[in-house]
Amino acid sequence: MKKALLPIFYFSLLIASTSMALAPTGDYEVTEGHSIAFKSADPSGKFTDISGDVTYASGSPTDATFNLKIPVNTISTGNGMMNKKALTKEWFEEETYPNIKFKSTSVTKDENGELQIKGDLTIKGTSKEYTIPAKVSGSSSKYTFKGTFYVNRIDFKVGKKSETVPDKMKIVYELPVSKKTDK
Amino acid sequence: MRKFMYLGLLTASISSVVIAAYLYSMYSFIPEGSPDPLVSLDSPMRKELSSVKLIGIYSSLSLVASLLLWVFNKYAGKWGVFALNALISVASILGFYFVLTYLRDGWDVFQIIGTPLFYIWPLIWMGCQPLFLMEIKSK
Repeated sequence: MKKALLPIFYFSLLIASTSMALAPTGDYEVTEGHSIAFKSADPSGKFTDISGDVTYASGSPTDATFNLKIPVNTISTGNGMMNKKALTKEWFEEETYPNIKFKSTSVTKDENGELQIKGDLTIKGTSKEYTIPAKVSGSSSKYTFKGTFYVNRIDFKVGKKSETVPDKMKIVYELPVSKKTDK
Repeated sequence: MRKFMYLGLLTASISSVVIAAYLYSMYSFIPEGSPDPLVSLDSPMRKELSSVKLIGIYSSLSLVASLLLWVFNKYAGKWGVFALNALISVASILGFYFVLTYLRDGWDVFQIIGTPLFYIWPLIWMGCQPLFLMEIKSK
């Protein structure tokens, strides 16, 4: 049994080191199939567009970076009047602040294997540090990040305090990314 | 066979430590947050040429080379060992030319830090071999 330990260790290390060496590294971009929904008692809806760049390597996930942009005029609440109202000065003020932005500053991995992406979330010109959880699936050429978190709209001066619209909105997102091709 | 495995493991361990220290010192030397995008933390080269990846490459090389050395030694004796080391030396020298001619957007600093990457591992590999392959008689 003792004699077998060395070969077992040797070949295990060979497999581990080869996977480290061959782990894909590089730049990805957001692709079709993305969704970013906000949920509350009233209103609920989604943003139909999100774009941006992601760098990710399965061998070193904590080196990942995220730089994302959501055009606020892609809001869809299922009610045309409400969509228009969301773009007004009281809410997202689309004319001055056309995009919601998120730029990561650091990424850690928690005990459940989920990524905790810390970064600056900018809405309506106000930036706040947020940590967004992400479950990662996929491999090599395509990955999908998904998760749920809460945003306090009052922090960003989106609307005013109200009895009907809650301050905290639940955000559920799914972000598929695929490897950038050289252009 | 066992002594070749030990050679592979020792080379993998030493080269991993050396390459991690080398990259750490080189990346520390390049100031973080530099306004020059080529040397910043966001540089595509820095992301792809990570310590984890290079430790993986050096360790795999060490383990595969030690298996090859066992095969070469078994079938061709000392000339087999010589042939494998000669091949590694030639690859190492060709690596210099590879670095000098490697052009890629965002990889300009590679021509400064890239060259040693091609001789650090061969030096450690050949330096460790006498520990396992030579029997020097003491007086």
